[in-house]
Amino acid sequence: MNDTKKPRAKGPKRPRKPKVDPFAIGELEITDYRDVKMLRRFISDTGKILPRRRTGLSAKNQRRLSQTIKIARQLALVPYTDKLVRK
Amino acid sequence: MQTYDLNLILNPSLSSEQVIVEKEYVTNAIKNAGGEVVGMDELGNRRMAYPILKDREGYYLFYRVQMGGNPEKDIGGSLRLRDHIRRVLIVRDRPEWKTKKA
Repeated sequence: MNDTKKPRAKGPKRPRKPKVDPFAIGELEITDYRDVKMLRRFISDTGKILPRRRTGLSAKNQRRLSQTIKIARQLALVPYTDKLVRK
Repeated sequence: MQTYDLNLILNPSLSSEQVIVEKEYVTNAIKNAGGEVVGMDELGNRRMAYPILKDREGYYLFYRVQMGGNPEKDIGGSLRLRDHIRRVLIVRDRPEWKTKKA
């Protein structure tokens, strides 16, 4: 990527912080569908699974996490959809 | 032989005796299917993310079962016919997917 010389495109500046995959470093358990606190990190306020550019997971772990979230949804631990609450 | 998680959601308004009856039924169903209960976890009444049969709460039971064959057919089918068992979810254990380091 030659992003050093190119003039930046117009628009708001987006600072990019490299994200770490918490599953790759063995911090969290990806198959634990009962860990609601962990799963909430990867779900939006409306209940959607966050995209990979937001979660920062590897492709493999993102696929597996999505399976785990879908299992948790069947058990009603995590919502399929949630109403967006505006403050 | 595989290890499975058997997750159940029961009617939240059961008395403690009725819960014991249901648990006995579950363990008998597992034994009759040739399985073995390795572990058991009881969460009790818990608020769910969405209502099931118009109840916002459910009584959670988690079993860990070791068995061969087809648990969905051998155990799940008979459990789903019970009136007080509202949800049955059987998940195969995937040790090769585990990421957490001990």
